[in-house]
Amino acid sequence: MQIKDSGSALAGAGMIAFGAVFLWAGRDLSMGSLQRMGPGYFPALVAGLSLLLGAVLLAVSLRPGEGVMRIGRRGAVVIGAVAAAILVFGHGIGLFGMVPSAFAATYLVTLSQPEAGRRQRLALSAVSAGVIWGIFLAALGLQAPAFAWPF
Amino acid sequence: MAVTKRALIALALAAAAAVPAASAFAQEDWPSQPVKIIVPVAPGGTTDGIARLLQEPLSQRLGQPVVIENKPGSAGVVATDAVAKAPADGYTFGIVFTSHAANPAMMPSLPYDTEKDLVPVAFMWRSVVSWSVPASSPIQTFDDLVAAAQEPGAVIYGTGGVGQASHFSAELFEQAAGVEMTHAPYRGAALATADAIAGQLPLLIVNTSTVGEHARAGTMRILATASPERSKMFPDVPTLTELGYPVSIGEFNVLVAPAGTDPAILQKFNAAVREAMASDKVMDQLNARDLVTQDYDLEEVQQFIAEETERMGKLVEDNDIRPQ
Amino acid sequence: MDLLHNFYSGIGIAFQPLNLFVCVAGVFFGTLIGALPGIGAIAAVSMLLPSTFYLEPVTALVMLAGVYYGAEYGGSIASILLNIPGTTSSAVVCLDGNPMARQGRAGVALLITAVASYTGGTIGIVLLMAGSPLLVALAQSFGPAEYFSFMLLGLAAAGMMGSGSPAKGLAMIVLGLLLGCIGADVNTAAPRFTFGLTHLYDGINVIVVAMGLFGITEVIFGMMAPGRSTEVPRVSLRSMVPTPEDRRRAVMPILRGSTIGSILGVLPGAGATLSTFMSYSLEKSLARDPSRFGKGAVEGIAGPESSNNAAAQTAFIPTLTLGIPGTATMALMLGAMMIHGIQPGPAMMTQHADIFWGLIASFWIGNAVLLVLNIPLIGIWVQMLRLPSLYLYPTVISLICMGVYSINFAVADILLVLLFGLLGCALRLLKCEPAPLLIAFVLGPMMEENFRRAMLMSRGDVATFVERPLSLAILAVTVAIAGGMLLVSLRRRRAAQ
Repeated sequence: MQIKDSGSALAGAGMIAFGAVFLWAGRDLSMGSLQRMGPGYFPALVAGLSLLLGAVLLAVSLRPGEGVMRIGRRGAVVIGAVAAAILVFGHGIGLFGMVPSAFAATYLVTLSQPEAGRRQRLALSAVSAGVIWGIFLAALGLQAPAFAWPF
Repeated sequence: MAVTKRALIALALAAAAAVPAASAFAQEDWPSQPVKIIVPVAPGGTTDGIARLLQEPLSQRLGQPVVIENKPGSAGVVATDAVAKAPADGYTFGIVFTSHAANPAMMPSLPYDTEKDLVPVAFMWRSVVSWSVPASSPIQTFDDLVAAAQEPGAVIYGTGGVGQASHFSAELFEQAAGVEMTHAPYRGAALATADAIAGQLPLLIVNTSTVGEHARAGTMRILATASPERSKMFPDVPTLTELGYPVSIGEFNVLVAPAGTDPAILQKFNAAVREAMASDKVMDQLNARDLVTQDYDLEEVQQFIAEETERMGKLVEDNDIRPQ
Repeated sequence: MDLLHNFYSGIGIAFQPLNLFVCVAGVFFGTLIGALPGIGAIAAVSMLLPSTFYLEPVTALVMLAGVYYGAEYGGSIASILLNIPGTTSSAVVCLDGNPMARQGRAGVALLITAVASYTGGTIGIVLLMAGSPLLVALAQSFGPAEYFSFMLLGLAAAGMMGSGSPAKGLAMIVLGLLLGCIGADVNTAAPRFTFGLTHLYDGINVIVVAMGLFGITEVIFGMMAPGRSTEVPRVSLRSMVPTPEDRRRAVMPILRGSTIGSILGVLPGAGATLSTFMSYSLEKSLARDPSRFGKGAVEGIAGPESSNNAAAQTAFIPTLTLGIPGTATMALMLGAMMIHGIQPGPAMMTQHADIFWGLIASFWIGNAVLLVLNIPLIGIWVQMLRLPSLYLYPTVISLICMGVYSINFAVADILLVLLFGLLGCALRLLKCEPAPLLIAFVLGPMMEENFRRAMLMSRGDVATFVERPLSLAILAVTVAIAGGMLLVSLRRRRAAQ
């Protein structure tokens, strides 16, 4: 009994985790009868299937398979930068408006690219903020502020 | 130069002194900026359509542009929450549905207090809820339906969703007639109507505006309406009240404001909405969709909402119509 | 020949200079907006809807129809070039469209897409004119039991789309179903898996899921490789011309796809979504060498794209003749009509004949404009790929955030798109394909709804699914597909050993 396909094994573990979370979170939903199914019936069924498939994937992982893709340090930096950028955009849009948020988010993403120079980063962020402004405010007339100041 | 400077300072001082006075006279020059109406649905549909129709006549009477902002979600709760949390300066209003009156009892975790955070301002319109069956149905009259409903759960009725006026009309009827029917809620009245026309749904409870075309084309047969008086679109159809069941309900649209808004502003807005609702363009559309407006003043609309909230709350309690 | 006469008068209305102008403008803006990641047809139509309230009814509808087609096609552009689909249907076009672009055949892919759209749309319109009553009758024979069986068939077809391990494919479907459970229960309005968040009460928006799983993930992986994203050869008019081989491969899938799309488009709610990947699965199962799929098979874009557009046409049948919108976009169009005082329904063809036929004619003109407008523009679109990834991807992140935010002005949607982006990355690292997840996410809630309704109406008798002949037939096809899948995977395993 040795795991030969770590991809399937991790996917199986993930499915079991998802199934368990949904079973737990839906524990208070009533099941009802077959004729009048309650809100908990279908989710419990699917969560059960999720557990089952998790088990199947774990069984499959005992045989050699596709494995996992490795991303290395650069990959981790990119994921971190994109996550930070989206969080900054999400928190910034209500406080500072869409143009500064787009500028900051774009700049953060470019930080993950070592090929870019500082000037290039700033120029790119400015262009990006301009594109956002042009599309969403000038062309589509969205009712959201371009700039804001919370203090 | 010196004179000018002194004059400027004097002017600035005068302006500073005038600030508190200005806010005291806020309702005098209200509105001095665009007035926003938050619509709890996406563009399209009756609620949005009538609100947009109201835009022009309303802004003429207010002397300021009226802006429509669509904030769909959670059966109106998202939009109403935005109104409840907006500054009470008379520049934000919102539309609420019948579910507004039922929500305090139905939803234990509302993000706002319906009675403390919001104040009703003006009545827009109320729909006519109709009970209809497919043309092929053996049920010819309302009495046939009552007879069929004697067997508990035998009659299946479809509506546009839980917590709508159509749903409550069935609950009220069940209470009055002492019968029990089975509810099949749909994601919107249109999908329920599609199933009914196809003969898949035995009893359809939706607004006359949705089923009207099909009734005229002969594919659906309207047995009764749940409105207080007969429908203008179908004057031959009896009301449930006439038939002996005291069921009087419709899907309504009422404008609300954040609590604490100056009553003088509310008075002005109420008057402007009532005039705008009575304009020819709006009336034509209301008639075309079989919607009824009520010329309620501020006090009347507040009393209306208070009564509906009490009635719906009791109905929800009695029948345990509650998400579990 | 009443039909032809009507259509002819409709053409006259559609060809009025103003109408023609707004049609072209609508198609152009629709394409432009639809090509942006994060904005789909629904968003494009709803943003432009209020601005049409001041136009004449026919003009307003013609413009919205143009926007709608344009945005649908624009979605395919983003899918093929960037591998960022905004809808379930364009997620299918991604599967083979993006590999083609990576092979330097983006021009061919976009041309075939345009031609397939046009053909699908034209066939859909012919059916719309000739077969409205017939297609309405078909839609009306569908009850909850049929819908449920049909969605099950859809899931089976979704399971066939992947090219990897069948267990992983099934797991993706189940995960999609699970995520689809989030939100208020239709039958009781009980909040499910919302973790106390009002925002989750309506469920997670499908655009958020698609943008996270595909868009964010694609950008992240695109930026992991340093330098240029893809090597794109210069696109001359010649390189856009499909080879005779391509043409031969595209013809039958386009015809089959149009047929599937035309028929399924009539079903409210499910049809347009299902038709694309039904067509994909059909082409894959008919192909002599199914392993080409997912690696740039022409059939894999020609079929789905034509079925998508044919369905977009016939979806107007229930909207116009019954007043029943099948999709969210149709509901918007219906709203636009009602604002202009037109009540779609059985009487529309007689009472508003000019609008009905004007609209149908402009559908066709919209499709033709789409073709004429886009062929010269394909070269420009492809140039986008020549931009180094450094210029393109950071801006795409901002665009996705803003596009997702513009749906409901909810910051929560921006955070959700990040969560789905991270999920998408995890899935790619584990070599799981996200397309079946997205499809199951859309179908799941409809499946549950119809299953419960079917149970309600049959009083808890499960036999209703096999007692109703149409439902039984659909189930039989489903079983055949599932059996075929099992056989294929067994054979593959034996071959591998």
